[in-house]
Amino acid sequence: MVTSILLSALRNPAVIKSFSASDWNLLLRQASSAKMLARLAYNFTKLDLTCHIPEKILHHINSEQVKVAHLHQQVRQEVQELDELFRKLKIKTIYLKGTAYLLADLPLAQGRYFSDIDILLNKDEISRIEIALKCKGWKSQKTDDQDQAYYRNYMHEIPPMQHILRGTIIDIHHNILPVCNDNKIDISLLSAGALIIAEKNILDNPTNYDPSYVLAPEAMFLHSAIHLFHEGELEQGLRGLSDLDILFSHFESNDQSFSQKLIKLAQQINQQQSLFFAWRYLDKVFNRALPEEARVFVAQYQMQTVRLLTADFTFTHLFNAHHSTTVTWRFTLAAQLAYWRGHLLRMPLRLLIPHLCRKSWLQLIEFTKKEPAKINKADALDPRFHQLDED
Amino acid sequence: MPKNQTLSSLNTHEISKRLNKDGLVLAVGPFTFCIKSSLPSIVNNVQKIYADFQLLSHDDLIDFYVSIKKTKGIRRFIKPQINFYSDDYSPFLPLPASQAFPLLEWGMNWCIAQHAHHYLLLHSAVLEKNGKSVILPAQSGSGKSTLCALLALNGWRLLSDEMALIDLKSCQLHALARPISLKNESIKVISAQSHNTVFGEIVDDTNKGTISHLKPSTVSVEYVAEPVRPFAIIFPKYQVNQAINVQETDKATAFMSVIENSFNYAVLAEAGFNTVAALIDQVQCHTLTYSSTEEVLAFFEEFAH
Repeated sequence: MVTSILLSALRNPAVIKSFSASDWNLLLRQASSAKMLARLAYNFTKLDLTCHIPEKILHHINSEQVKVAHLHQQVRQEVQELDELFRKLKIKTIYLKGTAYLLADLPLAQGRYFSDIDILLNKDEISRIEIALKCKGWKSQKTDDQDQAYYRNYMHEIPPMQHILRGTIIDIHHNILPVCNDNKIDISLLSAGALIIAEKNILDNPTNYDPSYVLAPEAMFLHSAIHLFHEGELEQGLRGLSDLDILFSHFESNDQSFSQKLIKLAQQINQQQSLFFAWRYLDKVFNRALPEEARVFVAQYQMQTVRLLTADFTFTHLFNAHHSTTVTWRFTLAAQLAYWRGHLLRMPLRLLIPHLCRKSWLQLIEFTKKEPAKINKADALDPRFHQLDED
Repeated sequence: MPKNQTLSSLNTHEISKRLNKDGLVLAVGPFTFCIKSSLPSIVNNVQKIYADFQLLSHDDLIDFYVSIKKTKGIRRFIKPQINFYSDDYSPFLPLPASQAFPLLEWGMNWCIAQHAHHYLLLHSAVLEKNGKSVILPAQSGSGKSTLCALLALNGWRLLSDEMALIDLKSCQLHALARPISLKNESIKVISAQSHNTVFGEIVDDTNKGTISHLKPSTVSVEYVAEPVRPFAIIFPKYQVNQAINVQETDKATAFMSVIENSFNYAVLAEAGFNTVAALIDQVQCHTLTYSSTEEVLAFFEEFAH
């Protein structure tokens, strides 16, 4: 495995002290494509290394931080509206992932790029939420009946909904793993200790206060780990592992019994493997020193040698920069393995094969339809870009 | 490498070699681009249009790695298409191969608009004469690029045809001196103005009509590193057979129009508001309706004195 310059800088930010211009160029490219530039900057600031960053690179970092701050602001505004809606419907909704880190004001939120809002609620509340959101201008992103059926029958979420004016996307979950999965999670165990946050708001406005809920620390960490180690596409894998790294060191420094709580919860929901992988690769990839309980847990965890070797091969290659400068055949093989592993974990074969056949068929149809080329696929961030040249 | 070596010091073979292999590194205003492409039309146009730009190397810090590549698959033998890449990422859908150079230009604009949030970015032309700068925002139907080319051919220094880069702290205008993109009739109008104009190849049937790029003057490129104080914002409007008419624009209206023409006002949040406010505070704001070239040139000539 080749250690990318991005991974070296994440492991040991002080390496930038001896960087040449071409090292910086490479780091900027790899970090930007991993959407980890603002994360790196956060590490540099924490370790007082900013004076070693050339001005040109600082401009890119600042631009990225400005963008992240803008996204965070947008998400906070959406949450305010959503919380009011949830209170009126009397539905307890738990924010997950990026939104939760932001609302709980965790160090992990600093410089973390995300834009979708993820929520978790009871399955029988879904239809009420869906109707209420539609009335507020959110619409389903999937219009195809088959897609709708796929999500609703097999997945742990309904098709994402997007606000028709603001473009924000909300993912509505009733579980954290596909419900067709053989290893179904009892979600009530995970959401049991959910915390109310934004206590400041209670003080400001005690009578008319909309509570926001996030998962308890151990559930939050475990959810992040389960998500990462069931994922088939690991383009953002390094960022996912870095998330776990920051979450773990934060929670662990606040609570001595954090590792024990993690182990207990993992056993309750039968997700020991995700926890094992999380600790194993925090150690292997980031050289993190783990507490005693974690080391014992990792050492005692039983797994078939072949499966462990395959997992090591896959994850150590993929927890790295995914960039044209780092691709090797081993990397490509690891990506293939992860793809199949992810799909098989999420869906039993009897469902997966028809699903993949249908997807390939649709791609083929798409390919033969010779649509005339039009400019501009993206630029969702800035519709004004379309005006360029258009005076 | 000697300081300030320009692209014109390289022969076609060398330019083509660099574009094909590791990439040609050019200083484009405050940004450094590494450009890669094996398409002959990119080689020809870059050589012609960017001749005066400063050459840099891979030992310099590089802001953007851009490339134009042919799409893969059987289609490339029948109706070849091309893609723009910003490093590994392709933000646009493919276009016919004939539009390679315009696509490169759009792609370079996209890179700046998406990543240069240390400036307030306005969709507008910027020119300067005798230390007096004008910002010409690009509302639809303004004839901004044509007007910009006219002024650039009449002694005005070109800072930018597409984008004003406004420093968030000092409000100074920074230059790009990129080629001016002209469309349809404007190409003829501008070529008739002067014998010294150098155009890139004429590309028909883009989604903006026929396009050609006018090479920026050598002087404009030489002075690209010199920022200038903002002096006036003029909102141009081309109206057939209309005598020239200049009206002062009240500052509140100007403020709103500037926001409408900004690429990153919302992203910049408070800094965006403060910069627009500071900008509006220190400039004159006018609305200009025109049709005759002579009249409009005379107006700007007077303005610069």
